[in-house]
Amino acid sequence: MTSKRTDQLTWRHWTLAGLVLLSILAVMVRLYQVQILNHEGYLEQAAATRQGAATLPAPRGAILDKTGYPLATSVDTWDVYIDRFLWRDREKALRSASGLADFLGMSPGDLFDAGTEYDTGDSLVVRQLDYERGLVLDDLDLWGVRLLPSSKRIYPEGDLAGSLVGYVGRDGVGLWGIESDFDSTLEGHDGWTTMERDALGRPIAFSRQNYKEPISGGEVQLTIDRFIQAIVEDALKTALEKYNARSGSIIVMDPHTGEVLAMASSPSVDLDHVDLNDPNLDQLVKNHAVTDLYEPGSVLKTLTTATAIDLGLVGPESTYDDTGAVEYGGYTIRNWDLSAHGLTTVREYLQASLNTGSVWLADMVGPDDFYKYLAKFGLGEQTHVGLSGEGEGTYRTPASPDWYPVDLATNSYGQGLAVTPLQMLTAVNTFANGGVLMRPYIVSKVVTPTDVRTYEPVEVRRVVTEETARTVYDLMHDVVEGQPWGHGAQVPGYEVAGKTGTTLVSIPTGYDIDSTIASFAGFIPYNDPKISVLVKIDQPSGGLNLGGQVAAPVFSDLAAKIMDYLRVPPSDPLVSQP
Amino acid sequence: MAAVPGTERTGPLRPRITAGANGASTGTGRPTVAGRPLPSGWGVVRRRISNTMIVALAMLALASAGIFQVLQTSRVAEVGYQLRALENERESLDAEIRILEARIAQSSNLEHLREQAEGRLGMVLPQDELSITVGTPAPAVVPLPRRYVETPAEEAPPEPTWWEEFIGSLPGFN
Repeated sequence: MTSKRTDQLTWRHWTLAGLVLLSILAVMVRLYQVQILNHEGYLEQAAATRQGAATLPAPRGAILDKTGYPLATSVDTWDVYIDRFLWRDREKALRSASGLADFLGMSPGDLFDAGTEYDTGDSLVVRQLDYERGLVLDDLDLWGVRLLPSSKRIYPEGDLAGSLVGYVGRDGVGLWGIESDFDSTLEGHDGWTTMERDALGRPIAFSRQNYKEPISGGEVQLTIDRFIQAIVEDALKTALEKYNARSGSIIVMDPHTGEVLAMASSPSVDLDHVDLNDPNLDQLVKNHAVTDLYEPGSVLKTLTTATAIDLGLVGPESTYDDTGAVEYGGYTIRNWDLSAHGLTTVREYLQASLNTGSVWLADMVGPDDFYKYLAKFGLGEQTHVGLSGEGEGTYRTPASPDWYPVDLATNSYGQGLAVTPLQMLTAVNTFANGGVLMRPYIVSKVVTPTDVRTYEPVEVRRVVTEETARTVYDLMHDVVEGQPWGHGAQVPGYEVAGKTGTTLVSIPTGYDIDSTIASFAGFIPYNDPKISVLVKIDQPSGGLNLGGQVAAPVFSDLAAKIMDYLRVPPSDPLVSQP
Repeated sequence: MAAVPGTERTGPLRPRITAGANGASTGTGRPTVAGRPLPSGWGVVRRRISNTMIVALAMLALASAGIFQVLQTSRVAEVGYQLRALENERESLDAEIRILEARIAQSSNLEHLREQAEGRLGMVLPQDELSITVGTPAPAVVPLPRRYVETPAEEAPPEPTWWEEFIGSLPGFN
């Protein structure tokens, strides 16, 4: 009986066996589906779960001043995110939102809403959280709260040299100034790493990794001295308020090397409070000393005089008869003060800044040589200081169809042509540098992880002979120190060489006779010039509007402070005789 | 050297047991070691212990190797975590260095220096007027206050020699 039952399979056996087989078959089909058909997809999902990637931020390089002080630098911060995928667990999310809100001083409801709005993706909570606060937040170990490394650009001197130093946007790209012009040098190249993670999300040591090392950004060192820059900006601000002027620029250079020691423009931007939506932002961020063109006025008479002397046409004591007016090209040209001085030497013409004298010299020089010398002085071309947006300047020549003979006369005293402030000072520097034109430069060193580049002074060309340069330099000394009634640019204890300039503001219909640009270019101390300065004040409206009244006193004020700072001893005794 | 009964089935693994100290039997037919007869049934027990021991030793060796592998792997993993922790610490220290450098810069900016000089140290900007009119002509040599002049110590006169004292003691020479 027993053996009979053993040998015979009943329907129950077959049913059971069939069910088992079906189950096995189902499992096999599913395995085939998972392992064969959808192999790649599941592999990727597994890898995504197991593998993690992390960005290794590279800090942006600093911008240093001449003394090595950072005018712009970067510090590490954190961006705080909510992982919405993890916040699908509403109970944990609620606790986490409460803890995060307490820490950040935010509304827990708002955080919870932001973190549970969707079930995937990240929600940015705070950008650029202080590094140390971020570490504290990380220690709280809040569920679904992630901190990703970021950085913040800071400007320790605030808005000092704001338009020159520049600014960095949220994406870490320089928007203007040095930050923009040297963006490729300053920017760091973030690294990254991928690694396998364990069940708790921690990186598994010695697991398979891909790694790219972050490369720190390079450092850019400027020739700008922050102490001189502060003196200059303070002087400019005071002058604009005192003379109720619209705008202005001041440049301080080393005339022997072309180093730019300070460069200030107003209006300028406050780097601590940049409003990227400000419609006037483009005007605020412009470096007007480099980009804007103006008619230099009588400062250009130094170039005209140098040309005539260099060609051997006149000397300092050569004379002409100043009748107060001169006919040229069908136009009558008068002195700025409508005066007439009779027999006048070159020295006296420059001291009194007579337009008739310039016309006399330009007429002797002739248009060909006159414009050839203007080009040699660097007018009409960029100085190649290395800053973007630099203006070239402009003037007509006899080759231009719209050039007229009177242009030669007006150009000789700095009207009818346009230069940038930096161009003008660079040209005038020639007289303190033995007749050699130096290329201005504002970056002295660039240090990258792989290279160090040092910028040295560059001689562009010899413009006039050393003797001519010395003669004109002496004439400029007499302009300031040879006046019996004094001069606004004089600095107690020091001798100064310089030249004022006043020009009318050009408008589409001609010139605005009520608006002037007052300027002064000068050197101090005269016997061994340490600095050259160009002061340009636009449209002063406080009653005083001439270069000698407005710009020269600004020079006097800031030059005295810079001499103190540079510890240049006075050349004249400060103690008066009894 | 005849094989002892009961020991022939042990095959090649069988331990070497001699018939006597000098390779001779004791005459009882029982195997001897150093001349002493082994207990009866020893060959069977020895065979069983040997096999068990061999297997146990093999398993112990395998287990030891496995444990060693596990220990080594866990140690490597531990060192790896320590390494990663050190790397994180280094990055954190680098970040703190950058923050400290920025703070140094901010605490030495011109505005802060001016505040400290004027507020904490009570310093003021120098006056603009530096000219000094002196009504009397300056002396050729400006005498310094006594406290600035170093006074040389007075030297004691030299002691008189014996012959000076002698001559001085003579009448008419002092």
